[in-house]
Amino acid sequence: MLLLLVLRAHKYTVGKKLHHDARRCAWTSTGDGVSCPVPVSFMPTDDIIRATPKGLYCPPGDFYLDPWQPVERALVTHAHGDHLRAGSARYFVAKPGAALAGHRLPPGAELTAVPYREPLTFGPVTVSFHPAGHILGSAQIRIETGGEVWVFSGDYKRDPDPTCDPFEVVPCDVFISEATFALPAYRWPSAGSVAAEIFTWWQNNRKRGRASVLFAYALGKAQRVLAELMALTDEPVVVHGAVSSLVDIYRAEGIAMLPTVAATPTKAADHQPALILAPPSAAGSPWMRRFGDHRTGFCSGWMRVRGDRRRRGYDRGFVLSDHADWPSLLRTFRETGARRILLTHGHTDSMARYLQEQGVDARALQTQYGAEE
Amino acid sequence: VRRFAALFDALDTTTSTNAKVDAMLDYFQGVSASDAAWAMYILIGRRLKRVVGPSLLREWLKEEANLPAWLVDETYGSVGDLAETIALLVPGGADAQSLDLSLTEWFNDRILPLSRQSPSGAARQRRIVVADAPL
Repeated sequence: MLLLLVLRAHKYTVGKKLHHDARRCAWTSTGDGVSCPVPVSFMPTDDIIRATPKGLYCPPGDFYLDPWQPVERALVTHAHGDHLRAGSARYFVAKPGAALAGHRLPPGAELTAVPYREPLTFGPVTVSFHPAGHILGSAQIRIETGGEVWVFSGDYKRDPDPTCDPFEVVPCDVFISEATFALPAYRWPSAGSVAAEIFTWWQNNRKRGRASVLFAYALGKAQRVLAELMALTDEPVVVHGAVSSLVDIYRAEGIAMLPTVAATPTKAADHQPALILAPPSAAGSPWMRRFGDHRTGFCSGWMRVRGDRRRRGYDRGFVLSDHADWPSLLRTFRETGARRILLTHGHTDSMARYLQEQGVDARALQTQYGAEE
Repeated sequence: VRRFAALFDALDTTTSTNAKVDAMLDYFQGVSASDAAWAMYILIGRRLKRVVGPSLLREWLKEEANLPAWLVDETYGSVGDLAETIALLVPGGADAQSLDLSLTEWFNDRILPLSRQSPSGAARQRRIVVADAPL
């Protein structure tokens, strides 16, 4: 028993040492308890979360975080397609996002809904879900074992959003963060001012007898627009079928939004003065013909840059993002108190280098999460 | 210069040629002859030569943005336009007083004299070009 304790203590100090020397060499434990340096490329890392071909994996708890290949146990941050993929045996998600996950997975998927902050145990590992402020039910996943706390952010934002619980700062040793908009050009205006721009654009189009077709990601962004516009109007908004089924789930979860009506072919004339919400995939499709004379707009953080706006050929770009902007990323890293930052997707290399120059232990991880918004 | 900024916004926020023509009609009917002349000069793509070169602008941007030089370069590479990169990286922008100047006053009193500035006027010059530009 005493020997076991000594060995565990030894392993712990070795683990600590590893973080300081990770760039040059690492230490590994041999059978007789003597440590020797080995090149980092051969190092069997004792990180509790590792990037593997199937996804981010936690060996002591034997589960994956947002895996991109089918696995036994998948802990999933939110229901967007690049984070929630079909084929795994069991899924664990935050409770407010369970209905969305169920909607997106094939029928019969085994899904466990876990309330925010409620601890779950996987062997020696304690896990809990915490609000990420990205979309309804989105979560960060806190993983604790051996006195060390890691947090996997999934996607997140710090700006207020009436459709989901606000981001919660979870103190941790290692913070695994997204970096979708990790360049200093990306700073968001307030959602209220963007909603006002959308409303003015809609009213101006209407005065000229034109429909306003607003493209927005069908899950999350579209519902946020419908909720933000409530401050300005109580008029119904016409929605594409892909948006409509998700709006129904949001309503069932108690999220207040503008009334919506389906875009049916028989009501073409009614659509003329309307605001129409559709997924970006509908742009240029035959579905658009029913609206006659119209203007197009797109809601996304990418619209912050004029070149991105012009390339996509929309009349208007509205800067509304469900991701953290540059100042929010830096603020979040600071507030978590993490001594190490790992970056999963987006402008990971720029952010890693910037943090390293500030003396922060940071690096990019290889993952398959997307930068769509 | 507010009216010119509004014209630029109107031209930039539509892909319809008719809407652009309408916006220009509106603008040119409502401004002085000299403002109209300067607006025309910009819209047809003419540039003032040798006022402030792009390399000097980049240098000033690096100082004003309070970011590492490589990160400014990387952002510029991603944004693709120097004037826009300046607008995105230097927060604050124009004060109300600067916005009240006409387009002609901007050119005659602020931009053209830059080419005659002494080195000691460099700091003021930089603020005018980088930080107060009505972008």
